[in-house]
Amino acid sequence: MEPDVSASDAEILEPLRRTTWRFYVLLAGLAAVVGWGVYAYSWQLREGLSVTGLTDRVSWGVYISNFVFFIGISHAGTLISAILRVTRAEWRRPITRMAESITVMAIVVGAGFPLIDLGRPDRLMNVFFYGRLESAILWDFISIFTYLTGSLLYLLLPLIPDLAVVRRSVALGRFRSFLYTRLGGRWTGSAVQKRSLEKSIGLMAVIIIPVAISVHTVVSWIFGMTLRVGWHSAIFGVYFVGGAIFSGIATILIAMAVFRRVYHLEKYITPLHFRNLGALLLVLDLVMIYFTLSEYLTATYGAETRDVAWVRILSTGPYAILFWGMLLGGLVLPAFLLVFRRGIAGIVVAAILVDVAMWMERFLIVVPTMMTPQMAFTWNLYTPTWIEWSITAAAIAGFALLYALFSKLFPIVSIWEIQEQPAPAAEPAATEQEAVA
Amino acid sequence: MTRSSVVLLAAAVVAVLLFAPAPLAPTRGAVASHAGSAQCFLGGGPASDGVISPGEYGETFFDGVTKILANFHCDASPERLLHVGLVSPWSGWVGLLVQAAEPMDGYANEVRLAYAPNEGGLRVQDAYRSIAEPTATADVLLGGRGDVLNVSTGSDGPARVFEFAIPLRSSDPYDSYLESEGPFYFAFEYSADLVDLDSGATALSSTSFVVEGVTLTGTWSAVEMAIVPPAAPPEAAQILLDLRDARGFPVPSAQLEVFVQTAFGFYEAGPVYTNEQGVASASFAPRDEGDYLIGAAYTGGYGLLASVAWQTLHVSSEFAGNPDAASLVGLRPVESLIVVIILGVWATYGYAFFVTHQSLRTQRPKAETRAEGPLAWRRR
Repeated sequence: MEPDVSASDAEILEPLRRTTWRFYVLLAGLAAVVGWGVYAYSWQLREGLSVTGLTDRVSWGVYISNFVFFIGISHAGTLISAILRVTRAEWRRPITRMAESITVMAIVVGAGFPLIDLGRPDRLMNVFFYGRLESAILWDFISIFTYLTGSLLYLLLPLIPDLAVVRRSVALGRFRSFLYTRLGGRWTGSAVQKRSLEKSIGLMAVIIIPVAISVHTVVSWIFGMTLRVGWHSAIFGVYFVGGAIFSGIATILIAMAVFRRVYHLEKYITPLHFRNLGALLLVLDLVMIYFTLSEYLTATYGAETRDVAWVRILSTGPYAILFWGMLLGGLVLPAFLLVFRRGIAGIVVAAILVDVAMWMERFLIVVPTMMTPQMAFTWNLYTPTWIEWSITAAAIAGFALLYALFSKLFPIVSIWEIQEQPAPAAEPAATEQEAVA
Repeated sequence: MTRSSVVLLAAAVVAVLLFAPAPLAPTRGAVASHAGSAQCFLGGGPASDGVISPGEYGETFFDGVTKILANFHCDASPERLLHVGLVSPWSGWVGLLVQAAEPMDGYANEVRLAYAPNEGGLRVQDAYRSIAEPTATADVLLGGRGDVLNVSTGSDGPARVFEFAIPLRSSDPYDSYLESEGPFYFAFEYSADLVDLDSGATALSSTSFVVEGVTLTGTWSAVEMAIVPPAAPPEAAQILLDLRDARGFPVPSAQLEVFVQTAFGFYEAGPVYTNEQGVASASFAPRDEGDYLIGAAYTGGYGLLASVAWQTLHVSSEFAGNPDAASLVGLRPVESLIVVIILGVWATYGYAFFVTHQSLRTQRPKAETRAEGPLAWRRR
């Protein structure tokens, strides 16, 4: 049977058809880092949390920072796909799949960190046995589980027509043949199926937006509803959601740049997409600068004793480099790049800076507050150990590994959404060259 | 990975989750020890009436593991009668193990007592047992005799009081270890809820004291407790405590242990310290409605003997008796709203999945679809 794709669509399927040795090398490298992280975690499991830098005073460190960071970047899928789908932004079509898959991978990786931070993972069962509705931890568990399920469904539904195409167009082994048949084998493209699919996707697009916002709001409440300096703040919900969308856009920009180059998707992912997302990134950057100034200026101006101690730890203490690096290198510098360097390279550099800065920002939210003494004699220090850094590296590698495998199993650009696009999104060549330059 | 290996892996994970040590499982009774002195006084012993009156006993020990308060009084009669008054929070039997030579090793004499109001009332067993065995054998079955004297029982609030006496110079060969002047090693054990004296113990703890001298080493103390109950769980109950000496004067700066009985054993809500008025307070936030046994103990010191107080806290739900709210027991309206929203989200997921799944299950409508391929609808 003839493949049901045009010649241009074949470019999207090319990564599924052929795998080079470079991909296997990448896979092996990422798997090695993940393996090292598993070894480090087994060490922690055996010896207990004493092998980390965590103490009874600073009980949240790198692990919880990673958790907040990964849940944050999971907002990429929500923003790019759901919001743009609901607002009928046509330029979204080539990048929705990348965004939706980032969401699922990021939740899977991020949700593991509270377990790692527990030290005793069997204690997760306490959430089921002794969970209480008053507990922010239970809210967190429910919202993340709901978000993960919704995101999986929201990723799967638009995949169904493409899987039918892949099943008929690509020579498949037993595993992939089974996978595609189970997930999209019954798709015929009839009008009934089309209507049902669009209805389902539309419903999911509407429902996943408040779910995503609630997830990061609840994550922020774990901090915000605690009577601790630097955390007990009314703006923490919107501050976290803003930061999450900010880092989510940055992550999708990086993913776009990588796939565009590696899989030769220049025809689909154009400078227009970078410019539009770059503009969104700039808006969020300015919002984050505003929130950050508001948060720290309020604490500084009030000059309450513990607030002063907290601001001092941040501005001149052991994390001053991180704090000023985050402010200047992660918020101010990207804003300049996004205003004055609007080519793909400038936008991607800004996105990388934003992602690094947003991890630092999560760390600076978690750790300095726990270092700030609740009583005069309880100054605390926290230095992550190699165990924590190894597990963090493994998480980043694991995220990249899952994403790479996904791009080899499923079309990373939605074929049917591209075909549905009313007019070609490609721009004049001169514009692209100009943008790249 | 084959299907069977996936099933095996899943079974292994489930097995680990099911059989891994539960974090909140009741812990085994640790062995606690206390050292002190018991004196044999000239004159008669305490009245055996099931009531422990102020100053009735010369020595007290509170055991933190079993939560049993033991009162001792040795009279200087030829038999050297040791009078014992036990105050126990447990509804099952309590036991006192006595040994002359070794600290709870080998064989010991044991007195077990239980109160079963619907099954004959007070039960007593003078027994002999190996420390390594969980059950004891009555002396009479071994050829000896039961010589537990002056047994009585009564209640002290929710706690059960047992009073009895044992001859230290017994002629029973199974009590022969007690012919010595001491030191004697004592241990307490209990069954949390079984009154069958042959049943195994829930926990065991040990203590030791020396029988010698005739001087008074401590005066009586009394812990009093008042509880301000919460309106509904999980609001906190306030536990007010008062410690006074034999003259009725407040005892300042004293440490009081406070504990609450839960399904997993006793939860320590203390320690707390008395102020200059001899008053201290603790709080306890009950999780659910129901009855909670709360105890407070002063373990002695500064010339004062140990004392304990027990009370039952009854907590009722604010929804109790309101049938309209039966389905929302434990939930406040906002929490109920959140639950409804979450269920709505999941229902939407289910509907979206159902709609797509149903359309995929329908028969392929036209041959043209087969011919044109799955994306034909996009091109039309």
